[in-house]
Amino acid sequence: MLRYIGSRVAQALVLVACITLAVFVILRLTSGDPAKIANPVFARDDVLESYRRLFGTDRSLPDQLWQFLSGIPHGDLGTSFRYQQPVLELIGERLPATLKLAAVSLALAIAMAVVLGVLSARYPRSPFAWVANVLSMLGQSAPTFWVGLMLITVFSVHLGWFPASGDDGLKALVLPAVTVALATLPTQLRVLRASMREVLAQDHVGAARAFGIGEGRIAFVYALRCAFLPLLTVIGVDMGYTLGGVIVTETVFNYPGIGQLALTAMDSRDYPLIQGITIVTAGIFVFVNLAVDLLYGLVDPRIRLAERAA
Amino acid sequence: MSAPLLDVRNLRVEFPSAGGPVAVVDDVSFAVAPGECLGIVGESGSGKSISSRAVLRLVPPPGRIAGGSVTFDGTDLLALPEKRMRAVRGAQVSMVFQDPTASLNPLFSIGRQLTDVIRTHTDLGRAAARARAIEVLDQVGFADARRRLGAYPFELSGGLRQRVSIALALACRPKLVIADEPTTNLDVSIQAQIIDLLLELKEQVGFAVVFISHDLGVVASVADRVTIMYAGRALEVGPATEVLADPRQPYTQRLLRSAPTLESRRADGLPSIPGSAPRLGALGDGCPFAARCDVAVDGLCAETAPRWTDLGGGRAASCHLLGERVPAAAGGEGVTHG
Amino acid sequence: MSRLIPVPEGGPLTAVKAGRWLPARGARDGARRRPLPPGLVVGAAIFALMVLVALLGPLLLDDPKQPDIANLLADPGSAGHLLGTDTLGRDLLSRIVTGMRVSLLVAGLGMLGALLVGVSAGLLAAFGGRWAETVVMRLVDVQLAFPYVLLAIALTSVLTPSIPVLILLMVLAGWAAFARVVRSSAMQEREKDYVKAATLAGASKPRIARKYVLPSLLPPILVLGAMQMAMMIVFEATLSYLGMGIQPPTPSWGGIMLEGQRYLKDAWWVSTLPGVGILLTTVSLNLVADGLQKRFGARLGEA
Repeated sequence: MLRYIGSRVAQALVLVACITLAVFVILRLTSGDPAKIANPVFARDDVLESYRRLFGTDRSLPDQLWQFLSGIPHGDLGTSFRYQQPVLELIGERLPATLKLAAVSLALAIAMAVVLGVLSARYPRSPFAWVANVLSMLGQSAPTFWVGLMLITVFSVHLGWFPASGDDGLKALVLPAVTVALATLPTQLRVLRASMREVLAQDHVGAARAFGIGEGRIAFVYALRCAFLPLLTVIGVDMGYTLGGVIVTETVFNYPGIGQLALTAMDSRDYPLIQGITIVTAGIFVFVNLAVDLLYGLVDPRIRLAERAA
Repeated sequence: MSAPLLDVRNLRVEFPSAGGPVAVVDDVSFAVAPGECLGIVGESGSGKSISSRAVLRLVPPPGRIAGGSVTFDGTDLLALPEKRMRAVRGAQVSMVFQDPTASLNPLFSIGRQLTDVIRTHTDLGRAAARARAIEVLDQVGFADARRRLGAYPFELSGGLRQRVSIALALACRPKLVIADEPTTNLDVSIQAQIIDLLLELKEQVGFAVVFISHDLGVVASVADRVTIMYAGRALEVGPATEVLADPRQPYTQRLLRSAPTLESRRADGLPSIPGSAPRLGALGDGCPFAARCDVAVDGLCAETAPRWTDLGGGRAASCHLLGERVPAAAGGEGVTHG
Repeated sequence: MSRLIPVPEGGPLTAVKAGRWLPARGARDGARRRPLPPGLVVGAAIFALMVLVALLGPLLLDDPKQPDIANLLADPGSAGHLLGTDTLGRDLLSRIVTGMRVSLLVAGLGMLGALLVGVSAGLLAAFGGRWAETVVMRLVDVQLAFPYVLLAIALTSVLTPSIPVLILLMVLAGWAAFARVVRSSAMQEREKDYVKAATLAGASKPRIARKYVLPSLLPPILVLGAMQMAMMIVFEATLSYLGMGIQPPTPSWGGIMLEGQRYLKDAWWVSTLPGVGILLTTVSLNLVADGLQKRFGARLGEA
C-alpha cells in the first residue's frame, strides 16, 4: 500500500514539474516584455533596464530557470512583477477562499449526483430521472458563466435572496457553488447512474430484499457503497475541469479567490504570478487525485485488506 | 396433514413475452407442515426457484404472480401490504441462496450484514444485536464467532460463506427456511457438511424447510416429503421415501432410472430421457412431459391435461396412466399403478 | 423516460474520458434499413438553421457596430429592434447574429484543427512504436488534466488575443480527446484480421493506418467532432467574457454578455439572449452527436 502511494506521488510530482517547466518556457519565450508594460510608452531605456534587473528578465533563460527552481525548496515562487510581493504570499491570501468555494461546490454536486443518480437508476421513469436528464443537458451545454449570470439575475437582482458578489458568509457562497456544481454534475450523474444500474442488478441486492430490508436502505446504503467507486474516480479525473469552472465563476461573482488573481496577472503579464498559480493549481489537482486513491481503500475493503486475505 | 405452515394452491406465475404471457409456474400446489422438510425437485427451468420466490413475493419483474394462493401460518401472503410483507421476509420466512458469493454484499462485513437484518426485524439495540449475531454464527459452526464478525465475505471460503448465508437466514428465528439449491455451488465434501448442518439446526430449532434442488440424491437425504416439478407444473408429490422407492409418474420414474446406483455398470450406460425441456411458450393443453414420455398415449396425453389425482397416504400425481399397468421401458421392469 | 431531451446511455463525456470505442454488432448491415433517430434530425435541422442565419443574417440586418444614441437599452420588440439594443444603442439581434458568425467560425476551424492534430497524434501513438505512444499519451494526460482557463490565461498573457490565437487555443484544448479515442480504436482495429492480412501482404504501417484503419474510425470521429465543436463554442464565449477572446468592438457572444452584466436589473435580456443562442447551438450539436452514436450503432463506452 505504501509503495503504491509512493509511486503515485512520484508520478504526480513529475506531472507538476513538467507543467511548471512548460509554463515557464512558454512565458519567457515571447515578445511581451513586462518591463515595457509596467512603464509608460515613452520610458527611457535605462529605466526599462532597471526594471528588467528588478524583474530578473535581463538574465538569460537558463539563468532565470535556475533562479526559479532553486527558490522552490525554500518556498519561494518568485516575486510578482505587479504587486512586488512574494508570489506565495499573494496566492496564500486568496487560496482559502477558492478552496472553500471548490469544496462546497463539490459537496453540493456530489450530494445532487447521489440523490438524483440513485433515484433515477432505481426508478428510471420517474420525475427524478427527468430532472436528472434536464440538469445534465443544461450543465453540459450551457456556459458556466452564463448559468452564473442567470442565477444572479433571478435570485439576486430580482428576488434578492442572495448577494451577487463578495465573500461574506454562507449566503455569498450559495450562488457560486450552485453554478460550479451544475457544471460538474452531468459527468458525475452519468457515471453514478450507470454504476448504480449495474449494482442494482446484482444478486446481493435481491438477497437483501429477501431479508426484508427496505428499499430506501437497499438503494442508499447497500447499493450505493458498491456503486460509489467510479464516481470517486471521475471526481479526481475531472478536477481540472472543476477548477476551471471555479476560476470562471469567481470572475462572474467577483469572488476574491485565485481565479481573479490569475486574470489580473494575465493583464499585466505578471509571469511569476501566473506561474505560481499554475503550479498551485496543478498541486491541487494532484492532491485531490491522491485523496481519491486513499479513499478507495476506505470504501472498498478488498483493496485495504488485500494483505490480510492473502 | 394438520394445518400446514405453508399452503400454496394453484400458484401461477407469468412472464410477458412477444406471443403473450407465458406461465413459468402453472397451477402448482404444495404444502409444508411445521418442522418438516419438503424437497422440490426439477430440472433447470422447471419453475422450482420461481415458485419459492413467489412465496416471498419476490418474483423478478417483469414477471408477476397471476393466480393462486399462498397461505403462511394462516395469513394470506398475497394480500398483505408490502410493508407487512417486508416484516415476513427474513423474520418468518427466510431464504438461503445458491451462490453465497453473489448473495453477500462484498463491501460490508458479515457482522454488519447480520446485525442489519437483526435490527430490521427486532427492537434490539446494537450490543444485543451483536450478541445475537455471535450466537447464530456460533450455531452455524463458526469457531471464534466474536472475532469473525468483522470479516468480509472475500476473506472466507465457499463453505464458510454458505454458513454465513444460513446464519443470515436463521438470525431472526424464522418458522420456514427456503433453501434454493444451497449446495449446488459447493464442493462435494462441503455439500455433506452443509446438509448435515441444516438438518441439525432444523432439529434443534424446529423450523420447516423447503429444499429446492435438481439433485435427487441430495433431496433424498434431507426431505421428508418431495414434490417433482417439470416445465412449471407439479407432476408428483408424496412422502420422500415412498415417492423415490415407488414413483407413479413416468417422469419421476425416468428421472430415478437415469441416476447411477451402486449396481449400475459402466457398460450398460446411463439411461437418459430423450429430447430436451420444452419451451414454455410452446406448451399446449396436454401434459408437458408428453413429448418426451415413452409411454404417452397418442391422442390423449399431448392433447388433454391430466388431472391432479389423489393417491392416498399423502401422495398425488398428475398422469393419465395412473391406475393402469405401464409397459416396461427398455431394460427396466414394468411398474403397476393404482 | 421523457424524450424531450435524450441523454445518451452512459454518456458521451464519460466515454470520451475513457477514450474507447466499440462498434456494435451488425451496425453496418442494419444501417440502411433503420430510420434516422429523431434527435439527429432535429439537432441537425436546428444547427443548419443557425449556420444559415449566421451566413445570411449580417446581409439582412443592421450594422452591429452602429450606435443609436436615441435608443439605449431598448426593450426587445421596440421600434426596429427585434431584440432590443445594448448599452450603446446597437441593435442586439444583429450583434448576436454577428457574434454567432465569429463563434461558429472559431469553433469550426478549431474543431477541424483539433481533429487533424488529434487524429494524427492518435494514429502515431497506435502505430508509431512504444516511445511515440508513451510521449503522446502522457501529453494527452497532461492536457486533459489541465484547467483550460489557465491554459488560456497563460497563452493570452503572452500573445495578443486575436482570432488565430483563439483558434490555436481551441486546437490545444480539443486535440487530446481525438487522440485518445483514435488511439484506442486504432489499436482495436489493428488486431483485426483484415489488418493482419494487409501486414502480411507487405503493406507499410502508414499505408495500413491511412487506407484501412482510418475509414472505420470515421463514426467516432464524427461524433466527437460534434461534441468538441459544442465545447469550443462554450469555450470561446467564456474566453470572450473574460476578456481574452474576441476583442471589442467586434461583437461576440461572451463580450455582449459581459457588457450586459451591469444592467441585469433593467435590461436583463442583453446578458440572457446570447446565452440562449449558445444553448440552442450546443444542444443541437449534442443531439447530433447523440443521434450519430445511435445511428452507427456504436458506443463511446467502457470496453
